[in-house]
Amino acid sequence: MNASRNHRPHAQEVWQKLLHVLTLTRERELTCTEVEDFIDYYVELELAGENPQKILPEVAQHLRICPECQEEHEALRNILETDL
Amino acid sequence: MSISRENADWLAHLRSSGAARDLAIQDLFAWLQNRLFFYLRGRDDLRQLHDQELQDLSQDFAQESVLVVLQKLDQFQGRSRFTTWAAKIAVHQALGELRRARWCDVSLQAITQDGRFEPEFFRRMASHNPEASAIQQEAIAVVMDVIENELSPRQRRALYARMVLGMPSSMLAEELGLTHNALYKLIHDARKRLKARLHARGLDPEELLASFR
Repeated sequence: MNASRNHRPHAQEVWQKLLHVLTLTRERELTCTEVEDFIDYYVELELAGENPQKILPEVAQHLRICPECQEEHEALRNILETDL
Repeated sequence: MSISRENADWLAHLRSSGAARDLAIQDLFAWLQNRLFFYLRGRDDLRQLHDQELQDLSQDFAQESVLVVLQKLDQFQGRSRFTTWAAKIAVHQALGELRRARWCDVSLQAITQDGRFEPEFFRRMASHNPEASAIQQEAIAVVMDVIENELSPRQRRALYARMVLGMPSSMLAEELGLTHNALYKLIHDARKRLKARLHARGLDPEELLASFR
């Protein structure tokens, strides 16, 4: 479980990551806590075939920038799609 | 097991006492545990665990999650189905635990040595890359100047821990003695400053990014 943290990225990888994050940086952004409030609604919109990026653009923007919220979004989607 | 309750029924049953509450808790626990089990089983980093261990793990996560759901019932606003809301809480709990387990023996001070953003980190990349254009070199110089001279020591450490080490924000917030939201603001301010300084020199992060691909 602790293998991934030992990966030290190459400087070029970090530089690209930093530039990517800067292209997405906005004056006003939602925090993780604010995104968490809406992520269940966001995933339900996705699963209903709606366009959450249009309905909740600030949540979509945060998901592109924050790896933890992105991971939780994917996990929630995965869990709700599980057909038991 | 009945998971097809309406939101209002979930709330009423979980707020009641006696058999209706017990049954609702049991249903919610079973629903969360099943789904967490299959989710955990699909994770690459947990491949080494056997099904029984994953069952135990999903059971622990589901139990903790049900307790949190019960504590937060008043915060449910009905934007989604109740089970989706509960699943969101379970995912947050489970992934938080997994991240803590992965990073539990790591100290930010130790991994960043003196806690500074390695000052030569990007410059090394530029000097090792003869293909880097003059504009790329200029962008690297601007970024390094901001990091070294305009960001606070805390911002440098936070940026390094997030961007270079990939440290989860919950762990980093604890290390720095900040709330999660305060950490987000700290890094957001650093990002805005970096972006503004690049723009002030006529450098667009999007074009720079394209030039590095």
